[in-house]
Amino acid sequence: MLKVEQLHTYYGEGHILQGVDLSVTTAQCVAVLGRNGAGKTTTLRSILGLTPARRGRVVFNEIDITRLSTHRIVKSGIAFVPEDRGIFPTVTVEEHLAIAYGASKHRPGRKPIEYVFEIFPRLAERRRSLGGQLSGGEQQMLAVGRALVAGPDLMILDEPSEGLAPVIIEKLEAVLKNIKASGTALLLVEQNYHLATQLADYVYVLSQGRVQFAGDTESLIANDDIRRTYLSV
Amino acid sequence: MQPFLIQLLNGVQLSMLVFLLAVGLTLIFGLMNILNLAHGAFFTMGAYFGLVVANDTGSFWLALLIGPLLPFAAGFVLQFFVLHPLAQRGRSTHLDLALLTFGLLFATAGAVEHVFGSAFHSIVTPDLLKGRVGLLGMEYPIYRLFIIAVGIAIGVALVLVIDRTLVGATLRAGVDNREMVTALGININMLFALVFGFGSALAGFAGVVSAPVMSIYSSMGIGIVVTTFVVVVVGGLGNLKGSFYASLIVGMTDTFAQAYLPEAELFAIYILLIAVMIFRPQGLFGAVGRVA
Repeated sequence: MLKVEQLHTYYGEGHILQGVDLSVTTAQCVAVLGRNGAGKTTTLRSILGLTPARRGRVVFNEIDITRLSTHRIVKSGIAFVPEDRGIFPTVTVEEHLAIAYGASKHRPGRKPIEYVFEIFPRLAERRRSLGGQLSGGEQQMLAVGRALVAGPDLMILDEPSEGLAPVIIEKLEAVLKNIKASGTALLLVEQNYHLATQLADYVYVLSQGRVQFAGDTESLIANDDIRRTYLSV
Repeated sequence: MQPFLIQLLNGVQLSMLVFLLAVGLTLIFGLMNILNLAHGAFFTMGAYFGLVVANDTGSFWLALLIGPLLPFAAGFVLQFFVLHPLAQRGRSTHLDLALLTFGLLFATAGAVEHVFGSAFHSIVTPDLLKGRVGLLGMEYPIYRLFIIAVGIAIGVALVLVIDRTLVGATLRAGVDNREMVTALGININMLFALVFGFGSALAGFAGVVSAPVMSIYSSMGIGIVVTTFVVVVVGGLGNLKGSFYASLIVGMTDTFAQAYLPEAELFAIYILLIAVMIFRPQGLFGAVGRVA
């Protein structure tokens, strides 16, 4: 479904991604692991066209999206939950979902905003609150809910567990498992090794802008060398 | 000297005219961070296009309706085909934009003078709004009351649109986090170009509205853009309600200085600008916000 080939991305003169290959298939959860500065977030940003790759190819549902602008890439069926959650401080919970709903008119699988309120009853209680008034956990629920509304084929999440309390992480894990079970593929960057291995079927380990390991989750768990060298777990 | 109440109404009327300009500019400045000195050019464009329509059709109302269309198109084109591509090449600092739009402001004034000459023009007050009404024992021109009503109506309508509609929510989201809006599948360049066009159309609308009380001339946009910037800075960049209150402050300061302290008229609002820049660069209204 998603195929990334030999991606090279620069920030100014800095050669951040040095030939990253990865792929995600339907209803699969793929985790990208690695230390800070390994190029994980840049990989996601390059796929989404936020920091376009200088060389290489990104193919999604048989369409080359490498050079498309972000809004077109998203329209082709990808939803994004960014690292800082991307919640708008001056926009209400309900409006966040309505904007995402309105922007995905062309998607047959888009979900009404009530669907999100069923999954996250807490958001329904806070539907008139502004994004800036939400707690970290509520913001993360809203970011995931907003991504769900579009009914994406692939949901990309950058460190969804960052800064959340353990109970909220458990809830998040359950929600993400349900999303995967309902047929949406997940591409996840995560520092939380436990959460990543719970969710992922397949894992890539990045270091210095290159893929150092690719394999299913069991083989990563079995590979002490890779875990010690690149993940310190 | 005219009675105090007349001065007060004149002040409100000037304030509302300035507000029509400032609200468009604050949208453009606040949303897109574009320092747009060409805003005065759209005021001029609207007035002259309205003048042409009024001369051809004899109708003020058609002029009011059609006049803003030219600045709308010009604003859209400027943002979509000139400023946005420049920004993508990294040429969108305030200085880059100020110089470019400064050029446009004066080029427009020159081009208008070339086509229409340097004469002063006017659009005749429509019959419906001619004459004066009695007000607390005085008489006041109906048309000036009309300007006040139009300013308030547009202010209220804009606040409702921005606070209560999906388009408004999307604009607020765009101010908060532009990148995230594109990551929701929204073509923000198109949205911004439309907002730029709309703000320009409001400036053009102000140009037509002011025509029956002020003259239309080629450099009419140059002076007013300075006043408008004072309003936008005093109100806080991108702050819609702030620009309404700031319009009143600036309009009143200007009118009362003219009436009671004529020697101060030339610099009163600039003193206000300097004081705000020194003591409250985020504007008088709104706690947080962009700093000029």
